[in-house]
Amino acid sequence: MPSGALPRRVVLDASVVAAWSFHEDDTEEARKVQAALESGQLTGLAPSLMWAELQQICRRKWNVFRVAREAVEASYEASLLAGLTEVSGGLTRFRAEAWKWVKALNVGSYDAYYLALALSLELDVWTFDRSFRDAALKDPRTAGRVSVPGEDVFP
Amino acid sequence: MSIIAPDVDLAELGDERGVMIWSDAPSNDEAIIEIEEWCVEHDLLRTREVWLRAKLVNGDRWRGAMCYRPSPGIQEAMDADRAAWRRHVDRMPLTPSCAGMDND
Repeated sequence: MPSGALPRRVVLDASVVAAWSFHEDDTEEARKVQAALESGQLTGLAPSLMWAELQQICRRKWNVFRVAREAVEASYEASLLAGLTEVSGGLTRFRAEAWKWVKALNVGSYDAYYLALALSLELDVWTFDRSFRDAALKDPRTAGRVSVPGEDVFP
Repeated sequence: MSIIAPDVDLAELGDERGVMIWSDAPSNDEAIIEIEEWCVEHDLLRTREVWLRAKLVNGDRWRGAMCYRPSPGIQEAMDADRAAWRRHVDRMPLTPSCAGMDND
């Protein structure tokens, strides 16, 4: 995807959803993505796996960063409003493919599943995890397929 | 890939009257994408199933989702809920991103 050109469909990882669900440095950029979803300009795919990762993030917000638990839970529940297109994403279907990317790129398993789903649909992944983007750059099969909104793409 | 929509006047759809929209995309996820984007073009909403109902027609597999036209009241409620959510997030303390937390 050439820099600056917006795709019609992308896979969104949990960091993007977390950025508009909680007050983080990337919240304003995430809201631009959300606005594109709400307007129908962009279809943002989220595999069901994302809910598990988002729950982990919630735990981290209240355990590590001491954000009020009620506030975190309210935002988690509200994330259903985000305009995402939830797809099954295939925990079983992508088991081998995700494992391949864990080993090849040394990325986390969640990231590997997002990547496997995106590649199967010939789509890109959007994330605020710069280390995930940078890891993908190291392999010609994944280089340029993982982008950070506001840095690599501008919704 | 293609879409089958029933022979009804889409303008007559509402909260109470939906229609099944069918896609012959090769996978469940691709069918969701195709139906959802068709809905955007026609100002409809798809219900939230993650696993679509499937049927065979002359040996071809089609996957369908119930779609409807949201009334202004539904849209207003969604807009109000989103605005309230944003105000809630703005009141939360600024915390670091958890991106990459599973990369240790």
